[in-house]
Order: sequence, then structure tokens, then C-alpha cells
Amino acid sequence: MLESTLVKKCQQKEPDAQRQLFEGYYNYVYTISFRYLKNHHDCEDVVSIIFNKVFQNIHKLTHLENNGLKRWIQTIAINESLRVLQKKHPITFTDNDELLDQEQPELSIEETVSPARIRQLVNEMPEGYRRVFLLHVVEGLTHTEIAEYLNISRNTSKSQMLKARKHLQHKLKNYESQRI
Amino acid sequence: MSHNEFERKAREAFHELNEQDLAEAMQARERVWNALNSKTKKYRRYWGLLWFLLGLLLAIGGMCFKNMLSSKVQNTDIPIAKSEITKNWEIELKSIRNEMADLKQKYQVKNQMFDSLTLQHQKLFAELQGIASSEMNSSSHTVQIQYEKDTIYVTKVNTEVVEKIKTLRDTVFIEVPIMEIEDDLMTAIDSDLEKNGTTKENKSNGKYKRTSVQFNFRNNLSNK
Repeated sequence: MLESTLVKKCQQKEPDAQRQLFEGYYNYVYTISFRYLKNHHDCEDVVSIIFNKVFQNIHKLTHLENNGLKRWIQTIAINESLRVLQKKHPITFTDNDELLDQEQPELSIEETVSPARIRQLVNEMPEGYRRVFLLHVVEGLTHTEIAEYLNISRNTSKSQMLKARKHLQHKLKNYESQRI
Repeated sequence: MSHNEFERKAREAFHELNEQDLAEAMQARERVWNALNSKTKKYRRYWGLLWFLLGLLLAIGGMCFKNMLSSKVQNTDIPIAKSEITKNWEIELKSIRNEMADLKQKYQVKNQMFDSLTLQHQKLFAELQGIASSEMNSSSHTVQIQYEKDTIYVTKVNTEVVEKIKTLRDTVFIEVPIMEIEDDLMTAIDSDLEKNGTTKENKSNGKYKRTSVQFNFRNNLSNK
């Protein structure tokens, strides 16, 4: 079924179309949620909330060009995941504009490092750094967009990203030394 | 390797779930769908309830507004409403006029009845006053006591005699057996009998034998 047809049927609240949409985007939504929440139990609840929002607000979706539906679902998923995360582990971001003048640190990594290890490294970062890093690097959002998502300033997002890179550089150095 | 390379690797690492997490995600899929369905149903139920309540409120509000409007229309001078009202009012006025005429007639009849009754009352009152004044002037109430005068001859002396003596009587003759009475005792009795004239026949017979003793209770009572 074409995505536009699927959306139209979902807008008409047809259960089969809704099920099809759910099946099609379940993994995608689950992956986004799991990225932030890091546990399956919370993830189940959030995915349910996300799809509920999707079905409730799908009539507002008008532009389907350039993966419109996917991007719309991604926005809802990120928003809901961050909302739940902030509710469970609230953090406050601090501004540090002085860091912005500094150069971006070099992140050297071996080719043999496994994705699991990379995930571990990222997930071990402080929560603020991790959120900004995931949003910027994995989701591919700009600092302006991140600032909107996290309700912070653009500079704060930038400084958090810089800190995250520094943290990762330090961790990677330690990791390399341990390996040697 | 530059930081871009690390970020590319990180992007790839986070782009998909690992096998273990994916398996868990697949296991949770049906649960999530069921939870979603129940939520949707719950929302629908809530919406249904909300709509029902809203409808109910609107209905009640509408009724109240209608009543308010109708009461207002009767008091205001809206021309459209007035024409509507006058049609109904004309009919109502006719019936009210008829009722008024009936009531007027009834009132007149009742009024006449009342006049005649007041006249009668005045007459009766005057009569009663006359009677009352005449009674006030008339002599005081007298009680007439009629004494019965009769004579009972008691043939037998028994306890009944005692009872009968209690009654007020003029004379009681008690018959006693024949006995000789001394003359001096009987003279007094004879004189009494002569006065009453009851023993004249016996006297004329020459030989007089007393067969009874006579007591004059009246005299005894008067003496007392």
C-alpha cells in the first residue's frame, strides 16, 4: 500500500491501516525510544504513547514528500522519549560560552572497535552530553533544533556537544591504553 | 581516524538495535499493540462520555434558555412575539370574558340572597330581642308540686309497710286484729275520726268496734 493511501486510511481511523502503520514503523520507533531510555520496560510504554499520538494527530499530517511521515513520526518519538526521560531523570543544562572558542577535539578510534563498545562509550557519558550527542550525531539535528527539543539555548547545545567530544576523547584514550 | 569517523560509527551503532534488544522489541510488539488498542478504546469511551455529557448540558441549557426566553417574551414588546401572543391571547381573553360574565351573574344572585338573608336575620333578631325582653318581665319560674291523695289499706303487716311509709301520704290505715281498747285512749282517736267524717256509719251502728288504727301523718309532719 502506498504511504499516502495508508495515511489517508489511518486518518479515517481504519483499524487495518493503523495496524499496518504500526507494523511498518514499530522497529524504527522502538529503536529511537530505546536509544534514549536504555531500558525495554520504559520503552514499551513510550512506544505505545508515541503510536497513540501518531493515530490521534495523523489528520494534521499534510506533507508526505521527502519522507514526511517518517520524519513526523521521528519528531514525535524523540519528543516523547525526551519528555519521559526528563521526567525520570531531570537534568539542568549549564551555559559555558568560553568553551565555544576552543577547537574540536580529535576522536581517534580503531576500526576494530565494535558497535556495542561504541554504544557503551556513548551511554556511559553524563546524561546532558549523551542527549546532545545522540540528537546531533545519531538523529542528525542541528544545534538550533536541539535547542528547541531540549528547551535550551543554541550555545548551550554547542558547548554540551564539545564537552561530550572531550569526554569521549578521554574515554577513548583510556580504552586504547587498556588495550595496549 | 577523525571525530567524523567516530560519529559515523556511532550513528551506525545506534541506528539499529542489537540482536538481543531486537528480540525483546519483537516480544513486546503485541503487548504494545494491545496496550495501544485499549488506550484508544478508553479514549473513545471517554470521548463518548464527554460528548454525551456535553449533549446533556446543551439540552438542559437549551431548555433553560427556552423557558427564560418564553418568560421574557411575555414581558417584552418584541413585535414578532407580540403578534404570536395576541393570537393566543384573543382566545384566552374570550374565555376569560365569558367566565367573568358567569361569575358576575353568580355574584348578583348571591348578593340578592345575601340581602334577603340579612333582612330575615334582622327580623329574627328583633323577634328574639322581643322574646327576651318579655321573658325578663314575666314572673319568675314556679314549680308546681301536686300531691297525690289516696288511701291504702294495708291488710297485712309486713316489711313492705315500712317501705311504703317512706312515701309521703296523707293517711295510713293500719288494720290490726280486734282488740279491746280503753275508752280514754280511744276518745282522742274518735275525735280525730269525727273530724275526718270517716267513721260516721260505724258510729250510727251503735256498737262501735275499732278495727284499725289511723295515723294522721300530715298533722304529725305539720306539728314537727
